Amino acid sequence: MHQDQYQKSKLPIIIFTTVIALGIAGWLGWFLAGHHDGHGGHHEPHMPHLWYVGILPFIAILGAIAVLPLLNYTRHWWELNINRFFIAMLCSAATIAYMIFTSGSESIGPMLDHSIMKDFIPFIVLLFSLYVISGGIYLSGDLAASPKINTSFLAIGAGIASFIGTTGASMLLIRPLLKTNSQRKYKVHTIVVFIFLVSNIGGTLLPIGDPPLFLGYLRGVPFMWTLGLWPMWATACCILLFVYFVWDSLLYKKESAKDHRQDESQQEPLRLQGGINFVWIAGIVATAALVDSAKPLIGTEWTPFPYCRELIMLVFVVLSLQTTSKAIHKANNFTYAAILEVAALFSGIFIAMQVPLAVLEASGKAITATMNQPWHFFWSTGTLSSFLDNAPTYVVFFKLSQSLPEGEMLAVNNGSVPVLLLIAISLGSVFMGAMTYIGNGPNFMVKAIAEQEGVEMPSFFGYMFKYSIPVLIPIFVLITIFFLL
Amino acid sequence: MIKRILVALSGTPCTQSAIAHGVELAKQHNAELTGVTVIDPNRLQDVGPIPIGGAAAAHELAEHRMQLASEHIEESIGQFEKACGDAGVTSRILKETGDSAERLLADWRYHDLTVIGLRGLFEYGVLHDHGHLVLDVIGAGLRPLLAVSEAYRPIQSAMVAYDGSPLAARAMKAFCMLDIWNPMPVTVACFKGHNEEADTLLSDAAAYLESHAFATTKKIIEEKPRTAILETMDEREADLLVMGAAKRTRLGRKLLGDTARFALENSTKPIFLHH
Repeated sequence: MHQDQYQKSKLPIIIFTTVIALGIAGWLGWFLAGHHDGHGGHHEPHMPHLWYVGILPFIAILGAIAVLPLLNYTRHWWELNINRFFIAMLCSAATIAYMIFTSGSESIGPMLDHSIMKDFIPFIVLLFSLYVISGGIYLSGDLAASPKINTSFLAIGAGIASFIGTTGASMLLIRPLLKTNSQRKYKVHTIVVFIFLVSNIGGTLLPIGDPPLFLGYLRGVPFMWTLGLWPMWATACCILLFVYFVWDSLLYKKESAKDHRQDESQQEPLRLQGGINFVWIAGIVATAALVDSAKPLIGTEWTPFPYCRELIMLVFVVLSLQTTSKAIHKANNFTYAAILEVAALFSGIFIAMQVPLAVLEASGKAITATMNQPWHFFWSTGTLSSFLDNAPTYVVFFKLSQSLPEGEMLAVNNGSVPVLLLIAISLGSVFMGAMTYIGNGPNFMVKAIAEQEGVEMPSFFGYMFKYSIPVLIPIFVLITIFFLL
Repeated sequence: MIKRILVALSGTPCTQSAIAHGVELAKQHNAELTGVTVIDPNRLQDVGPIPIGGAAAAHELAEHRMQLASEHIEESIGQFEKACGDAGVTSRILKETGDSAERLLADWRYHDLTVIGLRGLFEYGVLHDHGHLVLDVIGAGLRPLLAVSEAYRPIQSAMVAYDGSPLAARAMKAFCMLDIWNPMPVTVACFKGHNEEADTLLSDAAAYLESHAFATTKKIIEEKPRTAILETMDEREADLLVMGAAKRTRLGRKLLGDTARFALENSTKPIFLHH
C-alpha cells in the first residue's frame, strides 16, 4: 500500500484513539480538580449490575493480545502501537460506558483515579526507568562454555534479576551467554533454563524484580517484604541450577573433542560497558524503597509530594541517557518499541480490569469458600500467569485473597491481606511465568534473540512439553509441599 | 516423456542434491528445468503467541527470518543457475510469493516431474518444525514427485514398495510408464508376509516390471512397512524407493501417510512418490 494511503487508512483510528484518550484524561483532570460530588467514595462491595457485560472489555483486551498477533489478517495490523492503543482505548471506552450505565457518571472519576493515577502511572514509570537504564548496560565476551561457566552465568542472572528486573537481567546476559555457547552443539537447554531462572524465578526478591510484585508494592505491600521469599527463591534456584549442571555436564560429554577445542580457542574476556547505569539502577531501587507519598521519608518528617517517586526515577532515566553512549544502545539493539507497547496495552488493561475486580470484591467470600488454601492460590495464580500477563493476574488474586481474613495478616492500602496467601500469589505469578513463552515478556525476547543467533528454539508447545512441564512442575510441587501446605 | 522438470529451491541441505538430480534428468531427457522459490510470509513470519512487551522482539524476529530466507533464496538460485549453466541445460527461475503449497501446485501443473528435498519445503533454514507440508502437497495432488536426500548419489537401482493396492500399483506404473530412468535392477518388496496372496502379487508385479525391461528380484517382508521399508532398501542396496504416498480420504491418508512420512523424514536415499 502506498505510504499516503496507509497513513490515510490509519486516520480514523488515530482520531478515535486520541478522542478517547483525551476524554479519559479530561475526566480524570476534572475529578482530580475536585469538581465531583463525592459519591464515588468507599462503599460496601456489591455485585455490579450486569457484571457479565462489564467484564467483557477485560476479556476482549486479553483476547486481542492473545489472538490478534496469530491471525494472518491481523498480524501486521497489530504490530503498530497505535493500533494496540486503539484496542486499549476501545476497551476502556466500553468499560466507562458500562459504568456510566450501571453506576452513574460519578463512579468514573474514582475509577480512573485508581486505575490510571495510582496503578498505571507508577507502574509504567518504574518499568520505563528500568527498561531504559538497563538498556544502557552492555556485557560482551565469549568464555569457555563449560557446565561450570554456564551454571555460574545462570546463578548470577538469578541473583541480579531481583535488582535490575527480569527483563534487564535477561537482556544483559543473554548475548554473552549465547556467544559463549556459540561453539556448543547442545545449547537449547541452556537458553530454556536461562528463561526459567533469569527471566522469571530470579525476580522474586524485590518489587522491582517482576512487575506483579511492584503492583503489590503499589497496593501497600512493604518494599522489603518480598525479601522474605528467599527460602522459596533459593530452593527453586538451587534445584534448577543442580539439574542444569548435571544436564549440561551430560550433554557436554556428548560433544566432540574438536568442538571443545574450538570453543577453548575462541575466547574473549567479559567486558562491561555502561557500568555507570548500575548506579542509576541503585538509585531506582532506593527511590522505590524509600520515597512514598503516603508516608514521611525515613528519618525525616517530610512527606514526599505525589509522584515525587516517579519524578526522581525519571531524573535517573535522564542521567542514564546523558551518560550512556549511543554505541551501547546500538549494541543492545535498544528501542522504545517494547515499553511503548506495554504502556499502550496496560493503559487499557488497568481500566478494563476494574469491573472484574469489583466482581471479585463482591463475590470473593463465595469463591474463597472453596478456594482458600495457599496452594490453591499458588497453582491458580500460576496457571493463569503461564498464559496471561502475570501483572493483572496478581492483582486479581490479591483482591480475591482480601476476602479471606484468616491467619497472619499484612496491613496494606485499604485493608489487609493474609500473609500465606500473598506468598502463594507472589510465587505463583513470578515462578509460573516461566511455563510458556508468553508467561512473561522477557521469555519471548530471549527466545527471539536466541533464534536470531541461530539457536533452534523449541516451538510454543515443544517448550512446554519438552522442558517446562517436565522440569518445572516437579519443582513447583516441591515448593508446594515444603512451603504452602 | 519428460520435457519439463520443476525443482524446488528450498535453501535446505537437500537443495544441492535436488539441483543435481534435476540437472541429470534434464540432460538425460533433453528437458527444460525450472527452479522455483517460494516466499511464504504468513508461514515464515509466524512466530507464535506473543506476550505483552514481546511484539518488538517478534517483529525483529520476523524481519530476520525474511532476511535469512531471502539470502537462502539468492544462494539457491546461484547454485541452480551455475549447475544448469555448467551442464548446458535450458533453465528458468520462478520467484513466487504466497502460500508455499498453493504456489508449488500452481507451477506443478505445467511440469512433468517435480524434484524436492526430502525434509522441508521452502523453509530456507528459518523454520525447523517442518510439519506436514511435503505430505500436504502430495495429498493435494502433486505427482509424480522425486524427493531427494542431502547426499547426491546416482540412481542405478530401485526398490518398489508394493502391497497390491491401487495406490502402490499407480506408483509402480508411473515409475515404468514415465520412463524417467533407464532400465535398472529393481527389487519389488511386498509387505504382506509369506502367503499365497503375497507370492501372487510379487510375481505379477515382477512380470509387469520385467515387461518394461527392469531386471527384477522379489522380496517378501514380514515386518510392518514403517519399520522395515528403509532397512530393506539398504539391505538390497537400492538407490531409489518407489512408493505410493497418500490418499485424500481421511482414513487412507492417515494410514498411508505414516509410512510415507516416516520414509520422508528418515530416508537417506531418494524417494519416487506417486498416488
